[in-house]
Amino acid sequence: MGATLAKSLFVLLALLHLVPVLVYLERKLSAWIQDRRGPNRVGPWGVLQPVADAVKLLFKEEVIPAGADRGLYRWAPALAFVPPMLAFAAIPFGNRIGTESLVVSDIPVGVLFVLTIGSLSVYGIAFGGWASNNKWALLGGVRSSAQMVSYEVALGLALVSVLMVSGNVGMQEIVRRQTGSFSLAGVPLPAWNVFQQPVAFVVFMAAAFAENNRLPFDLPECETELVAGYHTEYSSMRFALFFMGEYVAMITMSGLAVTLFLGGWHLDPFTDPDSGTWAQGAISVLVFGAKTLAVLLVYIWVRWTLPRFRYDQLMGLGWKGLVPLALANVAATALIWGPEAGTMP
Amino acid sequence: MTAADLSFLAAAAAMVGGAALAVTRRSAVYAALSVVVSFMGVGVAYFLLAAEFLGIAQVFIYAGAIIVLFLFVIMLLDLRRGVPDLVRGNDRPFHLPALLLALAVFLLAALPATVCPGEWPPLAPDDGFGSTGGLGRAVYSGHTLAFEVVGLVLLAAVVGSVAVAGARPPREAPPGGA
Repeated sequence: MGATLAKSLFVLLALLHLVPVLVYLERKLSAWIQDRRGPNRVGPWGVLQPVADAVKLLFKEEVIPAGADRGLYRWAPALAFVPPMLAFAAIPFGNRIGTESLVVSDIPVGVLFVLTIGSLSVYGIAFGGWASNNKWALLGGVRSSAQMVSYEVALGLALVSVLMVSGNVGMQEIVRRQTGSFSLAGVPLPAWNVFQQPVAFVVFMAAAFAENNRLPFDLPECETELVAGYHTEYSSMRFALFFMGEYVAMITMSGLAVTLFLGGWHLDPFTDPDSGTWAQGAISVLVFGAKTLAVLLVYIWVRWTLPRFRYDQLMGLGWKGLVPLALANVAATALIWGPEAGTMP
Repeated sequence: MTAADLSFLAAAAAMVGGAALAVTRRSAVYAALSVVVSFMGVGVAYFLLAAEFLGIAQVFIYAGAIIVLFLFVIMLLDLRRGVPDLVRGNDRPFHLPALLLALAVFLLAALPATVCPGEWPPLAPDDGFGSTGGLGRAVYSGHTLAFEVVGLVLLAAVVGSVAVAGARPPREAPPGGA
């Protein structure tokens, strides 16, 4: 009980503190990509800019539009913020200390739990858009619900092939299956699923961008068409909650990608899967954090590099591109791994 | 009262309360939200019965996808004040019998079966019943034919809906001339 509480607190604080860091990194990286300086006035190199932003948002006046559905309007931001936070509970952020596995809850259906709970944040966006009584917000909400359902299919199918290779749906077990190494055409590689299932990884990442409403798939927001989409009418802390929800969802999705495809908390010479010492536990947490941050930087890099899709292109890519590709990958995986699913080829 | 009992009572309250709200709300959006709450309760109940895969699938498919599609339609048609008047008619007298019937079914069937069994079943029976692996083995070894038939029926439904949606009426001239 005490250990679970400590782990929950650690994850909660880590997630909440990573959000301002990400906001700063996003602004700084976007500035570099666009040959600007980015935030540089508040604190050294502008590192205190997110703090200033948070203070500003806290003290801003909140406006609730006339004709808004006040109940749903107030609660929608919480619905967008809580699920991604909750979903992180099943992601193993480290190996173990003593006998205590470093995951808040190592439930037997961990992968599905993360996807399921994470996908519930669509309700926050859809209800927020609907309750605002604003046509742009409503369109943003409608888009987000259709987009979420479409890309969840591709996401789920990409996972099927990973689960076939792993032979397990428990998160720690999936990480353990990736701790070995194998050789591909004579090149020794870590047994990460990204090398064994490259197609699934590409489909997963594309679908993950769409699930998180990130460019190139941020159609629910789409400032060129919809002002600001589902959060057009939101201001002050409720807007900040939507904003933080998006970043926490990104962190959770990156953590899931690291766990499923990039070897989780294991990196060959540094971590020892069989050791339960404090030092090894801390190193495994650091490795997991570094890998997650690397995936997050890809998110930011892609956002400031690619243009936005049109909505029909988004749907076409999802249903005619990613879903058949993922299905073919499942069939190919079944043929190659066959009855030996769960073991190395 | 054990933690499992408390969890079941909370889940049951969510199921019954959510279902009741779903049929009494005027606003279609609130009704959809209530159904989600009800489905969450069902998911928790599956977990309590050690059927963790069914529990998570219940939430994943129904709360995570099907109600989202409902919401899509509701918002697309903008059913802000609920069902149109012509459908609504005089539905008031219908409420009470329906509610009583539901309560009676619940009391007669559900309560004795769930509140009075004395002991909760062990949460993870040894034969893996209800676990992801156990369910998979049961479906793909014992019930392969049924699984294939269900797959065929679903495929027919998909083909049918694509055919219906794809049948476009002949294009009319755009309003306001060329």
